Amino acid sequence: MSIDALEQFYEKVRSDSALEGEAGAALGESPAAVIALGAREGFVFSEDELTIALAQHAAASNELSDADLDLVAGGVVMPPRMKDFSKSRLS
Amino acid sequence: MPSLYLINPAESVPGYFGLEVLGAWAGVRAVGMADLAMPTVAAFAPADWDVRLCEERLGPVDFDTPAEFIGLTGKISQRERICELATEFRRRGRKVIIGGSYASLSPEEVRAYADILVIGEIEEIAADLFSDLSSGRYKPEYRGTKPDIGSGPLPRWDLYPTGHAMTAQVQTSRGCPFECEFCDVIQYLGRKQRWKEPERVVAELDLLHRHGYRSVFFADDNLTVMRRRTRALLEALASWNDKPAAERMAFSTQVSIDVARDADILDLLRESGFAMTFIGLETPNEESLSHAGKRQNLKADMIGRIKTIAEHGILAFGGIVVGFDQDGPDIFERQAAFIQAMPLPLVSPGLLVAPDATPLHARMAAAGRLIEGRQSAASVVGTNIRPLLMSEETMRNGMIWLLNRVFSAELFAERVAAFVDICGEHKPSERKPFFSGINAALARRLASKGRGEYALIRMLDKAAHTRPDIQSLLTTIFIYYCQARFMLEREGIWDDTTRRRDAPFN
Repeated sequence: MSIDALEQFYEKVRSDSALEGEAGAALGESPAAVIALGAREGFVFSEDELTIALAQHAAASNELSDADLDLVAGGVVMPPRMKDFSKSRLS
Repeated sequence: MPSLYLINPAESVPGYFGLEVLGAWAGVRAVGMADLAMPTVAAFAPADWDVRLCEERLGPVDFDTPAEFIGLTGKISQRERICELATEFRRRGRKVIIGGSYASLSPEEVRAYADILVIGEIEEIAADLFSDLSSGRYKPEYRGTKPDIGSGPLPRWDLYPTGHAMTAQVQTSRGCPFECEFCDVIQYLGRKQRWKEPERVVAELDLLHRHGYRSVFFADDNLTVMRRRTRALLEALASWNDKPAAERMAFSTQVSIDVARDADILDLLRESGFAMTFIGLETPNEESLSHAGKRQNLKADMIGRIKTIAEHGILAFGGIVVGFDQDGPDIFERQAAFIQAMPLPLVSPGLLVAPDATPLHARMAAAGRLIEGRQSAASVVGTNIRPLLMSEETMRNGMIWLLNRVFSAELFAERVAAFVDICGEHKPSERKPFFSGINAALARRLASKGRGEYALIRMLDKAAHTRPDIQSLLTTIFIYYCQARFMLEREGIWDDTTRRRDAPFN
């Protein structure tokens, strides 16, 4: 379980359009769905690790307001605009 | 029944050590360090007294308390709140007692706010004080002695809110034999060190362990300076702390850099459970060290010694001071290079301040270089001294640059890597995901600040995987980094442009 595993999963998602579609759907559903998809592909990471990466991604892509960032920072990680997670770089 | 409401007032502004970031970023109601003064004083109250404690950092003061006496303690950083609370309680007809380090060092600053002023150490005057309070025939001032510090009852940790402090405190000695010009501790605790016997220290640890604490800060001015007693104490601690991982205590303390000369002391520190120690490095400027009387740091190869300490598995938290009379505008770059040359992630840079009662204060006053009203260190870039070799503006701007440099995520990560690379092995600890709980909450906030910060997080995560034995040290490093960032942002001096400049004044 590591942030590295999550990043490797993300790299795989970016290079595999079918998987990218699945990841987008999973992200729209719940963190647990993303974690399950990652595990299926052999990448083990936690919900905490996922939310940390999402917080960085959200800030880097400048898509969230400060209020939204507070939500992310507080652990509420599913604002609708997160759904395009799979289309943007994490770092 | 006589009654006493003891309050540890909140600090005016966040500093390096308060861990206010836990509340601000992680929503956790917690303090870095449990206050030792209140449980110590409470223990001296006779059995027929009703005593309650208020840790204001954890919850609001009860101004409607029926307590007859209000006891206020605190350091200089709590000055404003001590005075505010005293004023309000006296307006409500309560009798206010003020003691603690600030009252002891600067009695004239608080005398007007107190009905009863307690100056110095409590142990040998407590019986008279409580007897006088009970009878109502108390004096306006009580002056402590230099007591046997192990003679008092065990601190009343049962009265302190449990489960909200990252670490508790034990004090095994008071005083320090060195005589640094700027140090106020020796002005009221003295240079002849007084010790508790190992049996007494273990009894205090047993009590804290029963209350659920698994981390203890040894609030000594210099734990290891007297080697013979140090060995005896550490051997007792190593034996006491030989427990399964979940039951073992993590210890931290304060020492001087000369500890690195004695490998056996460093080994004993690690074996007994010490993982972190504060060390006043102050400056690479030997002239400044010499004039300040910091002789233990002179000709000491401080960089090499910090490496030695890390190789023994101990994380140093380096005290850094700028603004000595021998410091010119080049000191900021010298300090940045000095800090970066060490496996030393955590540092606490500050400007030289002249506290009341110190030789430095007297010298500055005689030279007409004191700035009145600035002693309270309300800012990490503030001081009550007019600098000699640069303007106040240069000093402030240089300090802001230095702080932004040493806490830039990129340079901080370099120092973490250097530490992890050589850190001596620790006993295995409980293995859990590094970024969970409080670490995860802080990381979510930090990750949103930039790519450098996210890279630091990833690097810590990797380090926790490759060095599971030092996970708790990595947590310490991470939390104190977040605190430094929170403090600098709160003060309005964190700046993305400044931290990228490789010199302060170009």
